[in-house]
This record gives sequence, C-alpha cells and structure tokens, in this order.
Amino acid sequence: MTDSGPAIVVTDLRKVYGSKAAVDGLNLTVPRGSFFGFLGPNGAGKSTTIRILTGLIPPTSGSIELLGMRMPGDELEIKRRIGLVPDESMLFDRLTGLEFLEFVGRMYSLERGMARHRAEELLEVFELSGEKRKLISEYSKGMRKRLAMAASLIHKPELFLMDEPFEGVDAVGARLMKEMLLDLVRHGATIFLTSHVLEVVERLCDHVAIINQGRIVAEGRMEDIRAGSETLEDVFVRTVGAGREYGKLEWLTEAWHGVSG
Amino acid sequence: MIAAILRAQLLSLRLRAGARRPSTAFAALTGLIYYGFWAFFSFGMMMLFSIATTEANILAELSTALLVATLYWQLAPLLTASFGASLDLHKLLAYPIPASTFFTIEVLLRLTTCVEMLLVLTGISAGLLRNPRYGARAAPYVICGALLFAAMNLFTSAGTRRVVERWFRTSRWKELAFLVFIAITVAPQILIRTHVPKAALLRFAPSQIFWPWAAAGHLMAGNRTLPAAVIALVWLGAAWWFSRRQFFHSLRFDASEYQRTERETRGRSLLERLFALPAHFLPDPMAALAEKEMRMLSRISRVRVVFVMSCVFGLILFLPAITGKRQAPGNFAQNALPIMAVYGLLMLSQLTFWNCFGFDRSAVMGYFCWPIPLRQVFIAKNVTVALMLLPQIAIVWGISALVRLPASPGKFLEAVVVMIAAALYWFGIGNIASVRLPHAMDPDKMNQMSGKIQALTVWTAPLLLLPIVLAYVARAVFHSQLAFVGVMAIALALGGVFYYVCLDSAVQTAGRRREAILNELSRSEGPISVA
Repeated sequence: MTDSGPAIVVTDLRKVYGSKAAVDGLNLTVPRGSFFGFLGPNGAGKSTTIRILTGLIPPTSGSIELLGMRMPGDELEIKRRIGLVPDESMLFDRLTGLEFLEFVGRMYSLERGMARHRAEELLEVFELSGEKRKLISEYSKGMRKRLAMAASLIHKPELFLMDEPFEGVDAVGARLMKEMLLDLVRHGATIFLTSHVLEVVERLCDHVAIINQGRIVAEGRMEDIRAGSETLEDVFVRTVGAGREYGKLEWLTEAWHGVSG
Repeated sequence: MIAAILRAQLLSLRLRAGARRPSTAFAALTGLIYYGFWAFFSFGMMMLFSIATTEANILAELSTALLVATLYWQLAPLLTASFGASLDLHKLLAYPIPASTFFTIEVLLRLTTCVEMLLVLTGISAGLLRNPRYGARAAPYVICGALLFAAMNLFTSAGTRRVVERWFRTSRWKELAFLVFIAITVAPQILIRTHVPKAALLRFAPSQIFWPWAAAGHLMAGNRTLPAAVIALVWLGAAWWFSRRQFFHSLRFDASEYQRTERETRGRSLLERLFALPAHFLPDPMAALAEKEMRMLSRISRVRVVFVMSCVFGLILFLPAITGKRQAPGNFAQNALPIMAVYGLLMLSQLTFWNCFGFDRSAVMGYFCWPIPLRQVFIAKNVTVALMLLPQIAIVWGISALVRLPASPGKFLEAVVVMIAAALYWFGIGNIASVRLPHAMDPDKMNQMSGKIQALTVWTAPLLLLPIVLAYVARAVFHSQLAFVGVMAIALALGGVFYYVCLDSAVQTAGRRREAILNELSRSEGPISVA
C-alpha cells in the first residue's frame, strides 16, 4: 500500500458482453491529486469503467489498482477510502435526506452522533436543510444529485469517482459543487469524473482521457490535449468523429403545408 | 394502436424472460400445475352440472357457484393485494391515443386476474349443455348468461382496481378501509350466527334473482329469462359505468397533490423510538441497516396494509371454528394461533423476504459499494422482519383471546417458537431467492411478486414447514407435549443450520451475480405494469 503513487492504475482492462467489448484493453493512469475528466460519446464505456472501478461489476480481464491497493483483494479498504456519485440513483426513496446521510455515514463506521452531525452540516451546505425531513422520493433530480454528492463526502474520502455529477443540477447548485470539488483537489483529493458538458470539464479538469468504443483515443494533461487554439469540444469531435447526418430524413426536413422551406 | 402497446409489452417481457431461462421454465411449470388444478376443478363443475336434477336444485347450485366465483373474482385480488396487469398510464398519456382505447385495453387486461374463474365458468356452461334437462337447445341462454356474468365481473374488477390504487397513493386510512372491507366479507357469517330473523335474511339470500350472480344463473338455466336478462343487463350497465368512471378519474389523478403533506415525517415520535430499537442490541452497520429497513417498510403503504391483514386475515379463516365449536375446539382451532401466525408470516413474505432487495431497486448498488460485508445486509433485513413478527403475533394473540380461541401464554410462546422455526427456513430460502430471482418493486404501485417468486412460494413454502408439521404430528400421535418440544427443538436446530448454509450461498451468489442483480433491480417495465 503506497500513498505516493498514482490514484488509479488500470492495465489492459476488458469487459465483454456476449461478442461486444464495452471496454476493450483500457490502460489508464490517474495521478494522485488530479482532477481527471473521463470523456466519451454515449455508449463508449465510461459508466462501465466507473462501475468496474467501484467493484459493482467484475472485469472480464485486466488489473486495477486504486490508491495503491489491488482490486479485487483489498476491496473493503478501497471502499472505505473512495467516494462515489453514480449515474443511477443510489438513494433509498423511502428515507428522508437526513436519515439517508446519517445511514451512509454509519455504513462508513462513523459513530451515530458524528454521522448525524456531518449529515446536518452537509445538508446545510448543499442547501437541502429545508428539505431534510422530506422523503427522497419527493426530491427533484437536481436535489437527488446534490444529496448523492453530499453522501459521497460524508466519510471524507481521498478519491472520488463521479458519473455525470452535475446532470440535472441547477446553475447555483452546480457552481457550489464545482467550487467544492476544486477545493478538495487543492487539499490533495483525487477526482475522476465523467461528464458530457465539455465546458465544465475544460474549466475544472487538469487531466483528460477520451474513450471511444471501449478504447482510450486521447489522454494527457489538458493543455497538451488542446493543441493550439482548439477547444476541448473540437478535440472531442475530431477524435470520436461527427458523421451523424440527419439530412437523409427527407420526411423530416420537408416544409409543413403552407410554409416555404 | 392496441397491437403496438401489446407488442411493446411482449418485447419487454421477452427481454426479462430471456435473461434466465431455467427459472422461467420453473415458473411456467408451476403455472401449468396451478392452472391444471383449476382445469380439473372446472371439469368437476362440468360433471356436477351435467347431472339431471330438479330445476330448483340446479338454480340453487348455479347461484351458489356463481356467487363464489364473483367473490373470488372480486376479492382475491384485494385480499392478496395483487391486481394483475394494468396499463401504466404515465407512460402512455403523452401519445395521441383516445382515452376510450386505453379503457378497452384496461378491461381486457382484467382477464389476467380471472383465468381461473373463466375456466370454472366454462366448466359450468359445458355442464349445463351436457345436462339432459337442457341440452344444446339451451345454448343461447347459457352463453348469454355466462357472457353477461363475465363482463359484469370484468368491469367491476377494472373499476375496483383503480379505486384501490388511488387509495394506496392517497388515503391515510387505507389500513382501516381494508379492515372494514374484510369485516364486510365476514358479515354474512356473523349475521347468520346472530339473532336476526331468518325471514329477513332470506329476503336478501344470495339466490334472490335481483343479485347479479343469481340473475345470470336464472338466465343460464332458462328460468324467468326476461326479468333475469333485464337484471343482468342492469348490473352490467352499472359495472360498466363504475369502471369507466373510475378509469377516467384515474386519468386525471395526480397523486403528488396528496402525497406532499402525507410523506413529510413528523420528528421524533414513538415510531422513531421503535426505529432506534435495533441499536440497543446490534452493532453498526447491522443496527443502521435494520433501522433503515424498518423506516422504509413502515413507509410503504402496501407493507402496512399487508401487515394489518396478516394480523386479521386468520380471523376469516378460523371463523367457522370460532363460531361453530366454542365448547370443544378441535385440533385445528386448538392450534389456531401458531397457524394464523405462520400464515401471517407467509402473507408478509412476498414484500419482505422472498425478494428482499425489491424495494431498494437501484439503490441496492450501495450494498456493493459501501465497506460492509454483504452477510450483514441479509441478516439485518431478516432481523427487521423478525421484529415485525413479534407485534403481529401479539395482535393475533389478542384477537384470538377476544374471540375465545385457545390463547394462553403457553400458546403465545408456542406461536413465537413456531414462527422463529418457520422464519429460519423461509428466510434461508428467501435470501437465495432474493439474489437468484431479484425483481424491482415500486412502493407506489400495488405491484406483486414476479411469476418466478410466486412459483418459488408455491413450491417451497409448504415443503419447508415439514419439520414443524412433524412436531405437531408427534404431539397428536403420542399425546405428549414432550414429544412436541423434542421434535420442535430438532426443527429449530435444523432450521439454524439451514439458514446458515443458505445465507452463505446467498452471499456468494450475490457477489458473483451482482451485475445481473443490479440490472434486474434497475429495470423499468413496459407500457403495462403487472401489479
């Protein structure tokens, strides 16, 4: 177990479903203390990779090291030290926001009083304290995402795995979350996140990897990836291709009756 | 349009069924046995109604058979909180489809809850046609009567489903409403046992032509056909109006208007202290998990309703014993308390331990992400159900004492021990089922177990009770309490070993199948939800 090596080392990772490889020989190194953006088009293998890293699904082959520990092998210790914001809801709808956060804290061995105290504070920071006694099933999508983010923080992890953390969150909430994440990185945490909003990744991340069809097609420091005056979007489109045409849908592009095209 | 909706549903079912063919075959086999039984029963009905007897006898038999069919048709879904397939209107309302088309599909889907009764009705009709008294010439009457009867029940069932569904989402008093409903179903028996004048009761006897089943019976038997047809049509019209009204009411219904105030919790109450109970005797994370389970289950309407019903349903089952042999209760009544308690446990089983991750849905991924041993999750979930059972036994005990069933403190203790033994076996197999056949359940809907889980219940539940049954057999054969205690002790010990082995297997299987479990529990349904 080492505290100075990379936060994540993935070697030749494969995940095959039937005859299709969702992740196909992925190699990745995430430096400790970095804000790492993991990008890719829909179905490229981003969520599958995050799910493998969190131990939710087993890889077909390859090796994974998180915080210097091997997975599988040191799973419990790894789980104690990572914070997860998944793409799907990991929230129990029939608990209130406060009850859920306290419960998650206790899952990470926090003493009950401490768990409740941190839960109250997190709800306050994420502007959910007004809703703390409301069942999660009543929360909007953005509120659920903010609660999931709060839950990932409660045990003060050193590595965060986040799948679309800003999806559905309003501008004010997203800004708060971004500032908090940047601050965490400044204090030594490592953040590995996926997002479709390239502007956000461009502004937050210092390292980027682009995955397409299960393979890494570009990886490096943000300034190295953006050669010259290219934006991250330009790089992304150039790397994964933009050959989608809708012009052939003639029935869709025809003008409605009485409207000239 | 109808074809497109049905095709979408079939495709979503195909995807689900294709995932695990062996368990689908298992469920199909159970279905075959279940419907085979009803086909056999239908054959018996055909033979019964083939016998040439007096018209009065046939009319009485027909009225009774159709009354029982109506009760089963309308009550079975309520008593089991299982309403079969129904349109998921939220997924379909956005499309430009006339509401009347939805209504037609909805009524046709009611056929999914009454296949048994359609088989019985077919048997009765075939019997009448084979009866020398009627023969083929009576075919128009028999067919018309049977069709009117089936249609009336279909419409009523469609309307009732929507009413109950709205109750579940809105009413604070649904548990009470179900109790009142159960009381109504046993009211005739109580009335018969009371001193209400017989003449007054006979005026409303089930064989009177103004009841829908009796009108259909008269029509099928070709007796007083004109008034019978008019009455049957009036009932059919009323059922159609009721179901249509309820369906269109559901179309405009927005549950969230009612839920906001209902679902806000009210700080530290007595219930809160109950939730904190596991922390007094369990360490974290088990205590936290058990506490979370108690909170969640207590906030699911359907769990509350089934819990209440599990406490009182035995009353219906044992009413004849209570009212009939009060002086010298037989073996059945003597052991009523443990039997009612185990039956109550079985009622809770579908919601709490045959599919213990069902209400967690996609949040189940937490159990794989948090640094906790999965074994503790299973134990915590089982402990929670066990804690729910204690007040249940106490309530059943109280009711038994009230209605003068044998309910001594010894009987209470016996019921607790029997319940623990049954729970060890059922929890054991339930933990395996939960990881082998997981199925997402929506707390807002009245959705029931998956077919596979139902199959598992049908196959294994009675078999697993064998060691407990043997204890009772020992007591009856040897007339010895010692023999009972001895065999029960063995049953408990075996149950403990069985639970331990099953738990181990469930934990290992969960680890291996975690991806499939997550997928199954995150899956959404097609345009038709099975409830």
